[in-house]
Amino acid sequence: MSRTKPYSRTIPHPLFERLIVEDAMNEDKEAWKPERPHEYGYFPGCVDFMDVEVKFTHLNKGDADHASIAAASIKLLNYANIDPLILDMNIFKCSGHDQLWQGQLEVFDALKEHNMRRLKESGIKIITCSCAECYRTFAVDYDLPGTLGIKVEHITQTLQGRGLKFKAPEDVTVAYHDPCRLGRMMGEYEAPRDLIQLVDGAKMVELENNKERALCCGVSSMMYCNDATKAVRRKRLDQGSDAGIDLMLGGCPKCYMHMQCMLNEERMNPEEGHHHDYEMMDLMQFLVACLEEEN
Amino acid sequence: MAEIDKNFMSTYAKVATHDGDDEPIQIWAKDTDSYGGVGSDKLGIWGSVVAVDFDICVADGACIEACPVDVYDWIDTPNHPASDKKAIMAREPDCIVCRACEEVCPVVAVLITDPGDIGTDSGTSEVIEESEETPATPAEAPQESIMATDETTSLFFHKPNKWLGRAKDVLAKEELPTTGIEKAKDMFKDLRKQTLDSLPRGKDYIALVDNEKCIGCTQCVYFCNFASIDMISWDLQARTSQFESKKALILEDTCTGCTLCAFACPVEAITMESRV
Repeated sequence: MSRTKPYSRTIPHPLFERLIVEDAMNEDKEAWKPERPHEYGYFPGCVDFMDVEVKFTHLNKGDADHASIAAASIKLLNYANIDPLILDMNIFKCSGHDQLWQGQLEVFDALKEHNMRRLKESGIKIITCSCAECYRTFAVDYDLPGTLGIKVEHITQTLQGRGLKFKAPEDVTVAYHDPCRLGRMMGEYEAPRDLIQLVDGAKMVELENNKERALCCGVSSMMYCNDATKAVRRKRLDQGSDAGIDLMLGGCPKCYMHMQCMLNEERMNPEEGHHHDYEMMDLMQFLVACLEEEN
Repeated sequence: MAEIDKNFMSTYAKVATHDGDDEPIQIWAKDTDSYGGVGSDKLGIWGSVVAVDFDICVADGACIEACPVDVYDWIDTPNHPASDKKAIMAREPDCIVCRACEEVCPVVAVLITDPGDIGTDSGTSEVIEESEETPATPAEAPQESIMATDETTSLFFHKPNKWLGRAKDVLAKEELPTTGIEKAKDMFKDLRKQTLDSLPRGKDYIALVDNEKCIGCTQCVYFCNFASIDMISWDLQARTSQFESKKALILEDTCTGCTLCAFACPVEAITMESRV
């Protein structure tokens, strides 16, 4: 790896995206074969890279933990009697969503080429992602159903309709924040809501803007975070306060990252007078928290 | 919650030393009875510049990851109730006093003391430079020290997310496969090492922002452990119009020369320059 970055330099990449670019450009031609065949593959995405990044920055003053989204997803898949092949970042690389949307096409092509080869080697029939961005990228930009015949699912779709039961440890009012990639782009609004309905003791309310009219977290593909994007996020968080929720649930680690970052920033600067008295969480984390009573 | 005693150098006694990589590590305890050796459940405070209260340390490794100069190692403490290993400051003389570890420690077990302050009356009365201008009357002096402690203690207190705590409790019950955290850590470490190898650092150096290159992304502001970076508005002239843009500015007094901002900068606008 070198510190000179020949690729697009106009966008302020966070450190972890720089490393994903480095990773993409390190060619890895070794053959790989999973120990045994699996029907399902679970793709965690770059949650671990985010975790290392937030440890360095002051954004982790709260307890943001992205890797627990992946762990929670695996746990829930096991709970639904699915034994997924973990397509982890040691074998696979980032799906390249952010690089594609930032216009770094050569990086995206390198990532795609590597992941396509690995997916062919893996022999899975269905790939499920806990990240809405990976889901969209695999389904549309990789076109896995068309090229490799692999069905692409978001984890909420995989878990939907499997007779799962959850019980909230205490009564809680939640709202679901539609991630743009899962909602407007892929048209999936019901699967996550159905899952929340399965939680006994959780009351779901809709935010003022929901489904196809949902507001955005403001930091599409990690392009930029400034006063304007923060205003977008604050507007969304205000809607949560208006609805009187205890938890806002998202279906994408990036939603979790950006919203939680904003909540932490507000708490760090109480003199600015913005305060939202609830937490952001990923839907998978919430469902796992509601699992304990069941077992 | 127990925290490391800020005045341990005056309230604790030196009870033993332990081998570090280059220099021995000082071990402190309230009295000789409260230190029982590495294999015991009473460990006291280890280190002087880099001090870790081993009785509080929970071995989550945050300091090891945060340290830009690799001061820490693991040491096995098999019989301690809080954790069976601790972060030992094996390379304590390497510490650049960036306080990254102090910042990340979830249980406030780490205390960094500037090597220059050791041996003097530590911590209790910090000299404030402004007091040189106005001769401090006895009435003013304590007021100032109260303000100073207020500033340092008014940190951000976060109400832990109990729902996330519950999720983590459930997840901790079984061993789930990891998804690539080792690879991510190694890559970050490599990049950080390159930054460290390629840049001078320490007390004699200060970070400097090249305004031509700075894109105002605020990444360095988040990485700085001392709130030592500010975003300043500049009026700039483009070919057709004037506009205002924010650029990072390093505050000279609080910059410790730790290179974390240079590490974070996406456009290599930050360089380390000698202070003299």
